[in-house]
Amino acid sequence: MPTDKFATDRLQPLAAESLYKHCDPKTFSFGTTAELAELDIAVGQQRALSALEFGVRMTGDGYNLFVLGRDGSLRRRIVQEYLDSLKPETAPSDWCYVNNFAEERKPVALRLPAGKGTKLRLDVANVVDELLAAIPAAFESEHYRNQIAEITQEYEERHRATMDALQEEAQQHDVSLVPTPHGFAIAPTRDGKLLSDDDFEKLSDKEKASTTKAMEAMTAKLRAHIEELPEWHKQRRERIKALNREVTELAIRNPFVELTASYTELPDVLRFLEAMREDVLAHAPDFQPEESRPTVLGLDPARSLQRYQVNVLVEQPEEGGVPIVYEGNPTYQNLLGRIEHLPQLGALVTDFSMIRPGALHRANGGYLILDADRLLTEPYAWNSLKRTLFEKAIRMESLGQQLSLVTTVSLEPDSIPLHCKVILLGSRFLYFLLCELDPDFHELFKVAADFENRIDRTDDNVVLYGRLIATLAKREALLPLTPSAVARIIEQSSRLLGDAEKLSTRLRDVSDLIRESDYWARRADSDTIHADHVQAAIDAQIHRLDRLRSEMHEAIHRDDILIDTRQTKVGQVNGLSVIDLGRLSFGQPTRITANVNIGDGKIVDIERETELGGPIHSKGVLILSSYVSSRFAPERPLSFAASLVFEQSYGGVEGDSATLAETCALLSALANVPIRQTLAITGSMNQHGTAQVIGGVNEKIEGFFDVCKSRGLSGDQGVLIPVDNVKHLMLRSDVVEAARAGQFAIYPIATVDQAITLLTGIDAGQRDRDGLFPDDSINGRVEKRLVELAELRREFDQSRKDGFES
Amino acid sequence: MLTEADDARRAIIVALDPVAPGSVGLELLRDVVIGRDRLLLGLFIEDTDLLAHAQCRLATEVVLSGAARPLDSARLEGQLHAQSAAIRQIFEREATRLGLPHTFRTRRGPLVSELAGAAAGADLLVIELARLAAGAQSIWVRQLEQLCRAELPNVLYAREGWATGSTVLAIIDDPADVETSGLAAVRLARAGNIALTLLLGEESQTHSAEIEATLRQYGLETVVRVERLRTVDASAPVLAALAQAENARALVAPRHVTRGNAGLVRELLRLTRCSVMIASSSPSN
Repeated sequence: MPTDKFATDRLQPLAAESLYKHCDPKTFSFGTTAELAELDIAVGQQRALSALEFGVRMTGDGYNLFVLGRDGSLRRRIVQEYLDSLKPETAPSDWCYVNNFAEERKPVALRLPAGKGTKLRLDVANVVDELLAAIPAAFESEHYRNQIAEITQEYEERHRATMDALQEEAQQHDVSLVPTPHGFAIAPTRDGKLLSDDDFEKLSDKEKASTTKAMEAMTAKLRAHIEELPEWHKQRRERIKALNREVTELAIRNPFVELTASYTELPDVLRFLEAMREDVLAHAPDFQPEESRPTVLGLDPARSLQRYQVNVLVEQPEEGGVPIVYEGNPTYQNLLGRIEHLPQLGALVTDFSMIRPGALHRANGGYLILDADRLLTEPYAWNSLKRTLFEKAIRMESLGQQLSLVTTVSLEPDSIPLHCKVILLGSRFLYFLLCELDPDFHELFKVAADFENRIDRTDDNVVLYGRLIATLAKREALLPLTPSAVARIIEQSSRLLGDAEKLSTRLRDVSDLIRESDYWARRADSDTIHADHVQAAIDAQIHRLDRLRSEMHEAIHRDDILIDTRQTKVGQVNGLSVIDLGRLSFGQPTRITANVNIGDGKIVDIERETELGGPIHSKGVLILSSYVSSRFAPERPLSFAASLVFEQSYGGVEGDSATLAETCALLSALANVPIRQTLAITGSMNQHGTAQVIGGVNEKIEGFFDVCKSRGLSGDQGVLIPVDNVKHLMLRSDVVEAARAGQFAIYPIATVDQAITLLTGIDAGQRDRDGLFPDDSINGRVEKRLVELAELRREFDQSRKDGFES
Repeated sequence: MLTEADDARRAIIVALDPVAPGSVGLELLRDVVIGRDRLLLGLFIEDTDLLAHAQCRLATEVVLSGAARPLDSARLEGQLHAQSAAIRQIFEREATRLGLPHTFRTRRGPLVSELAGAAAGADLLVIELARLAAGAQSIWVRQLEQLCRAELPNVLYAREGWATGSTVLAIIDDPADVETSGLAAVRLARAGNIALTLLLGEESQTHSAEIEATLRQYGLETVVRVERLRTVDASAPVLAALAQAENARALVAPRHVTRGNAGLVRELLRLTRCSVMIASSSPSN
């Protein structure tokens, strides 16, 4: 049997004072919030803050954080402020990419103390500028020219001397040696004149042989000399190359000595500078003025010196501080960086200077804050982040290359070691989903910081909340608030939460309300925000969003939607539902009806049959069915068929807050007792008929009140709510005033018996010692009807059986 | 372009390198020609002595790859024609770029006599040696030594790197040389806006003041140095050492210095990097 908290005859409407929990402005001792010192905005979030502290200080692998909570709780700001307050334990580093002179496809990552990256870039650029002057000057010097000339002259002299000797020898052996366009011609002579073919034929055999032999000898010597020329040229080139290196080395010595002196503590940088120095030595012509540099059509000659640039990927402030990076658009490239390309001669080219940092680079040595839902919806971002955290290194790979979308040459830059805590912000749903579905998640995000949705509305917390409001106003340079305005905001905080005993930690809504109150205050030329301005902001918020509510109420007023608020009807009750429009929820009365016939005990939920009812609603109907079968005629099978429906409901119905209403409609139909349509009812129910708490109680009451008020309050109208919902009441002032004036009543009920008693005006009735309900009670009538239906069914079954047998 | 009918007496002849096309001669002609309103005549000589070699059955050509092959007459003719065309193209392009009035001729005949004939009455004969390999240069210059015996205008053996060097050396062996090598050197120095160093022979040394004064009249503002040398010292090694010490762009010698020493030019070209000018015996205008 259900516990009867209130005797039916003692069921009284709630006093007006129970319908709204005021916040007394006298609670606050300040004149305006301008007098209050700022407060940490993480009010009531001790659990989350301690988790945050633990996660941040814990140094093992995978101690990254997932901050879970509702949207609008200002988690990000709270996390950021917490991180800002930390004293850095380790100094973050600058990171640069420089050319790998040995293998350009694999740029080298350099780690430098904070602020040194830019210094290195400027220092190297200055040295390159210096070399652009020093190297050409060295090569234009008389000293260099003379040395080149000496080398050239030496080889020319050797060549000339050889040719002179050959020519002398040729003359001695009656051979002519002359240059041709492609080499040298050799021909026999006599007395300084060419020997014609006829004259040759006239020679004796011995002379012919001698001449031929001389020709062959000269040819052989000439060939031998010409064949050694390439080797001479090679020797000359090598000597010039060595000279060039020597001259370059001399020209660059001082600039490099000065440059390296600044980085003696950084061996990686020294290695780079040494590699750069070697490369400069090998490519001195690149430092010649552009017009004298060999160029390829379409290629920018200035690019050749870009290989000496320092690409400062991440620059940290020299004065220190932990990098705290929030990446609002966590795409793959925004996280891991990108390698850009440049079109050149129809192809895409790239080098280390086109490597761009990602959020992980910027946050290295500190903290990276990401929105989990955005991260998970960006292709490849989540998996890449996990891989990076597992590897503890940022490895840049072009996504195009990974997916084989581009075939152009790309880079394989050095990985950069990662020392970074990643903090994901997400909903609880997402957190539990990741826990369930991603085995890596627990490995990498071991700390959950769970933000509270609400805090108790204790006196201390109210004072603290007042300071929080003051802080939010100050940070946005809003007008100061009076105590009454603060009190009104606190009341609204409870109302937003739908709980008079709690305060919302969804600070975004509170901030918005303060901001909008500031607007109304300034519009009224006030230098402080008063309660009126807060109320104006609340009213305006509702007004902006309640077009749909107005339309639905109009439809009820015009009887397009049938809601009876005056008469009595059998099997019909006013239920209450809540429509959620995102930033506005409102209540709406709904007619629920029940029909009963002879049957096999089945209750048809028309909503479920038409697939408009959700599973929780269906569960409620099944509980209802269970309640009826266990409460009435327990020794007989149920022999009725009932149907339940939300009239004129064309959308989905979900939730079990109509279970009490549906039960009452069914009992009314079975007992054939009319229900007062002046009342509406909401509440869940268990199998024993006990009323259970529901959500949106304020909106539901106000929804019925608005319909009644628009038709004129009759004084006998009201709403039945589960007694456990009383603590949630934060009703609108007009509802409270109507209740105070006895024009509208809110009844707290504990059981379905109390509900049906109030709705019908007839006692529900309790079983006597014989186990029987009083005949005139609702329950007695219901049981009697069920017995009748059972008898009818038995007779019907018997007649059918007889019919078959005959 | 001017035609062959133009007055060749006013021409400056450029005997373009018969072995390899080049344009160094033009580079320096910009210095010496501009402002003198002279016709520039490019001359390519198809040397009949060379062609005669090709008529000889035993003649062999050793090409620069080291291969030896019979010297074929038709092939040689073709090579010379191709070379002439290439040189002409370069010459006309460069002369046009420099804004010099010019014409181009290809002549066939013995090299020296063709050169001497073409240069007779001209202002200046430039023999371009820029791109010649040292071996070919040596042979060619040896052939041109015969020019020293002819009465020719100023003959300039032009070397690569004309624009380098910071001074012009002028040998004034005799006071009368002021009007020949002196004047030619002044023109080169003034055109290049560089200094002039006088190398005074024994006979000139007593007239150095007058010589300097005369040269200043020709417009040379600065004579940076006056070296004194005896005629007997004017050997190729001494002159070459001076040219190197002075970083000379050109060395200008009076023709009579070469009369008794036909190999002087060849030696100077061997020992120095600067260009060499043999000044005409008669004063140039």
